Amino acid sequence: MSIKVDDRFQLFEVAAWSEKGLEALLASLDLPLPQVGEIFAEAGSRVMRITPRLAWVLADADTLLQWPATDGGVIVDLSNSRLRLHIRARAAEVLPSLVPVDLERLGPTAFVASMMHGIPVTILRAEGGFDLLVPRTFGASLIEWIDDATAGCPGVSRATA
Amino acid sequence: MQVSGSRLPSGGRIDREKPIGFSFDGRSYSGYAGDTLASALLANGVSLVGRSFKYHRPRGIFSAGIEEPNALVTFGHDGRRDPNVPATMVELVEGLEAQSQNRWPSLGFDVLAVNQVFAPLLSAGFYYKTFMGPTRRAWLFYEHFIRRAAGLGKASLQPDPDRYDTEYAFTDVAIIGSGPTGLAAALSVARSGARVTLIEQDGAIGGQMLSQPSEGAAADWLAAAGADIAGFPQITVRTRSTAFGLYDGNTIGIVERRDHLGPEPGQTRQLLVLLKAQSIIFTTGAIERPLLFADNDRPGVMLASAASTYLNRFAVACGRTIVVATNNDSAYATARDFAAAGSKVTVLDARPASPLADSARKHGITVLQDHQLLAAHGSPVSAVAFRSGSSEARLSCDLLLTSAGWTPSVHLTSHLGIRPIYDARIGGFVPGSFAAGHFGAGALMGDYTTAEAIERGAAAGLGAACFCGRKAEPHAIPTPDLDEGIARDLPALAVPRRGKVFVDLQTDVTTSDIALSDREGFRSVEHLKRYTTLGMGTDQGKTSNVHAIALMALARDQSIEQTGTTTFRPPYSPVAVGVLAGRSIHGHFKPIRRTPLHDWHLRRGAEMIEVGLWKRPLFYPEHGPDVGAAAIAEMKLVRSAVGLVDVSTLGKIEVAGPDALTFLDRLYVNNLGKLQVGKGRYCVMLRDDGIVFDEGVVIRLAEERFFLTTSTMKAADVQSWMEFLAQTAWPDLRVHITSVTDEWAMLALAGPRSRDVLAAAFPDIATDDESLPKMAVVTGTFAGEVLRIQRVSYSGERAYEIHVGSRRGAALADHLMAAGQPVGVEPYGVDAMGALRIEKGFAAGSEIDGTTTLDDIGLGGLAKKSGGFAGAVLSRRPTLTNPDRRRLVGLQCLDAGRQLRTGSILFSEGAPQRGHGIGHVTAVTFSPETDKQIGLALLSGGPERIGETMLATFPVRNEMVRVRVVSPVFVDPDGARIDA
Amino acid sequence: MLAITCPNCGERNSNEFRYGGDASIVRPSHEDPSEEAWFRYVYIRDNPKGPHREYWQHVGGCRGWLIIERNTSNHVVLGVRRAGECR
Repeated sequence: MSIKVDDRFQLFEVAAWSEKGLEALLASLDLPLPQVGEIFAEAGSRVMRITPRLAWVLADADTLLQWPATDGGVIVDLSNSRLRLHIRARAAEVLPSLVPVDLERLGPTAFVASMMHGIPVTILRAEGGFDLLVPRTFGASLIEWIDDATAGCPGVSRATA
Repeated sequence: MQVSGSRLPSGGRIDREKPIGFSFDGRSYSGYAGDTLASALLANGVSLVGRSFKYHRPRGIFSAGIEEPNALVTFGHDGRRDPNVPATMVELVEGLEAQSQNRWPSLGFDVLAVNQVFAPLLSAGFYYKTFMGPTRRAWLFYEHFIRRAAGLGKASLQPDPDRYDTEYAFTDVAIIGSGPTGLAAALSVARSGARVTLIEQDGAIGGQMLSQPSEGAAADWLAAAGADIAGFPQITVRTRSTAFGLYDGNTIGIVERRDHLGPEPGQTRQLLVLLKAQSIIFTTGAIERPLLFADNDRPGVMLASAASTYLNRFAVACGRTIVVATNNDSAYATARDFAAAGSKVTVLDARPASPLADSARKHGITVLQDHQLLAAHGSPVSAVAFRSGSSEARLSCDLLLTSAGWTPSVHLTSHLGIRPIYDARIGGFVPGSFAAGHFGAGALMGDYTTAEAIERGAAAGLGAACFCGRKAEPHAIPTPDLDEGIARDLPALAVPRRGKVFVDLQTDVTTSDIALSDREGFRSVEHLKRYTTLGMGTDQGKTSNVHAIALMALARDQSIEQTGTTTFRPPYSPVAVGVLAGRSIHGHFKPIRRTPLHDWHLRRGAEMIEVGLWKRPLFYPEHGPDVGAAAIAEMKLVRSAVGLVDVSTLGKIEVAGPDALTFLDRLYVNNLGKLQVGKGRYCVMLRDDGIVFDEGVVIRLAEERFFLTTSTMKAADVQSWMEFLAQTAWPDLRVHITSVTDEWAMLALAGPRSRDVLAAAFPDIATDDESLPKMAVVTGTFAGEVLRIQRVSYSGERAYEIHVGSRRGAALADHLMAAGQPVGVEPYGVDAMGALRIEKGFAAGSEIDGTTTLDDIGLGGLAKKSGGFAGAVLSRRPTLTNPDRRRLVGLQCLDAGRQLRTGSILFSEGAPQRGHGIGHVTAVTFSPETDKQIGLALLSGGPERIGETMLATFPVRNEMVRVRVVSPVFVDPDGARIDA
Repeated sequence: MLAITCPNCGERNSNEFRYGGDASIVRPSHEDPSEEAWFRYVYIRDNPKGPHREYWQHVGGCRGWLIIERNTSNHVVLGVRRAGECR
């Protein structure tokens, strides 16, 4: 298992006063409106719909996002507030030690906002493992926790970068 | 003379190719892979394994399972020491070292066996009746000795070096118990495609079938079922896994033991599995009950089915001349097993007839009907006494096996409050009912033939699969042809009147204790349990509870249904605290929250402290040898030059939207209507009951966008409170609330030279007093991130708070330190920061403690006169406007060299010192400015008492100092320094 | 471990949620000057054995406030919906 820390990305919280309003805000960035609990991913950008009127937009550092003058919503830049942990390991082997989420029941377009070791995290599927968005101030503590809690898993050798 | 146990030359499920060496009480023995410690001891002819709890009577192995009351051993050393482990549950591994318990100096010669002489003094509840005099304190004297003699094994006081892990698992259908019923259910569910988890306490699947002869119909059926199970990938079998509790949300608590793998450092010793199932099938089986008779606790007395287990599974014959005493047909199988092994067997059947008597006789077994067992003789057992009609006689034997029926293991089914109900057919309790999605089958439900159990297990599997939304079709499962006797329609329990008849072997509770408990008025079954301690041992009364209830019913002349049972609670069997803690130990007990400057503080050698989950620098040792000296140096630095402090832990929230101003105006006591863009204000919010909740600074970044801070400790509560109001109370307001605590690093520069540092650090941003007046905000950039500077002070000095995106926090600190070097800028810690605010009389967390109002802390002037804010109405209640309330004042310590302590209780000089006084001290510090110990306090009559002398008492340390009541603003009362 | 199905996030353990009090009482309007009304709202509660409507916030997930109907005698959750307007 490897854990790579990434803090070069863009993250925005997008909130509107109605579902239509959220759809319009995302459309102004050429992004669709996923179902609640689902994630849409395309080159460089991801949209996570958290509640009917609230979504997160996650983008690579060099993706240009031109936000409209916010009419009908609120956009908050959260790009500093999280660290993104790229965890490369078999999710099915490692996640049961970390978080009580039934992976087999989750569709391929789902993301999970839950808690790990008392810390709110967002879990995203990724090539070869999964990504975690964790509050920056809890980042080091969570990495230590993941390292320790998964040490008992069969076939996990640790390398944290 | 020991009961001769001997290993049969063939048979059993042990691996004779793998001999295993172990020791018990220092003597070496040998067994085989597949043995338990108990079976290996019996194979070696060891019959004495422990001494009983109160009377220290010699005890032997009684059962072959988790219900074992006698054979409790300790194994392991130091931190890995494990006491009170039933030898029947210990898998034999090479080098195992076990010790017997509760005896001194040795098992064979136990000094405390003398307790038997004092037996009449040690009956139920003795510590409420005896050892009570001659004085009231006498009990404390006796208690010391009684406590040392109490208990069985001794726990280690050393840290546990082993690793315990936690796993969250999910399944469609969980099946608890892998006997024939559970196996049939598993196959039935798996055929529908649903996920199955089969949970088995033993190291192998099969349940009671493992106690049948290892060759024959049962063994063949088991092998076939095992092969079928292995062929379904969606069946997960967890062996060595005890389901210890059933919890809400269909969650089963399971401990999976890996102790048998040996103490490899870093390897998981035990695993806590929290298994969430959609549907649960309980196939937990039943446990045999013994007959009651005099001296029924002697070594050599066992449960009939246990002896069959030792014979058939472990190839150990526990005796050669055997008496099987029974009141039902199930024990006849044991008689047959031993006859086939060449033992001489006599059956004492309490009933006048049995359908199995004739076939038993054909096997050479002597069957005596209508014979009541009266007593065991010899230790270990060498003879039994019985009565037939009106005559009594004796019979020699070296092993006495008894059966009084089977008790379903209903524990898990009743953990969520469903009471079991009495089934008179089987003389035991069965599950009262099942919640939706829960099913039960097999011996648990009183189905006692194997064929019945398999059929009902398969049916339960179908039910569970359908509950999970699967299409399931009935599939016939073959049943083995076994010649079984079942325990049904039992005669009434016969209890001899003479001699010591034990009901609970582990806690040494006898029939006379139960009678005594009833005579003394302990009428409820819950009282019986606690007064006699019956059922309170590590076996939790698994072989004694039903007898106790029956005896109580007899004593009270009522039915067993009327008597009822005690409540079953988790855990079903003992669970190590370590496995419940898992990896949440030591540094991982709770998560640690680090500011963006954490490493920066450590590089400067800061002494860190915990503030909630945060780590903050208390002081920097470069400024002094200890916190006291360093904090004073840091305070002086701030008041004379400039200091830098990390305030990133403050809660930060963005509130935005067309109705954001309306929302905040309703939330805070302040009138925010006139707050301009680019300005900030110190604001306070109340709880709905009128008490001060929290305070912070609100900045208007734009027409519809606000940024506010909260106190560090209340950040989560304030955010939830705001979201509660926005989503439930005022959902029509278009306002959005986002936590940005982690988004921003926040540093404060405080001191008369602070402006110089800013000018040097940010020459492109106008930070002069005209461009940046008090409470105003300017914006710029730093290293590609947005930078904000607000002129605001927590110390009373000229000060600024600087915000930057948290990834640049450390870089900003370096930049400010470099820019401020010419004027001598230094970092300061939270101790100095707190002391500076005390000198200025600013209310903080110690005064905003959930009991104080705005007026109490001197901030009444902030509130909107017109009300209309949360808490306004109730804040005007008489109890909150009473002039006698404790209000904020300052205190000066008058006794030189003495220390004023936080929490001290204030009394007027000369007043009697009783009760809670007239005030208390909330915060203290040494004040370099005034060269005195000072403090803040909440005092009845508050500001009107300025000038008076009080006594500040600290009873916990027996201290008292004289203080003078003064204004809480000790430094710069005119507030000139903020413009320095 | 109580299981709560959040309308936004799906089924979760109760330790992801924060209990927020009785949802069957109506908060007075923020302009209501009646001390009696506020006193009742803040202090007076029924304590039913059986179904109880209450607020919970999913702090470990979407941070949405929910109204949950829970049976106080056996923890069976009878219904969950988003509080107020849909968040």
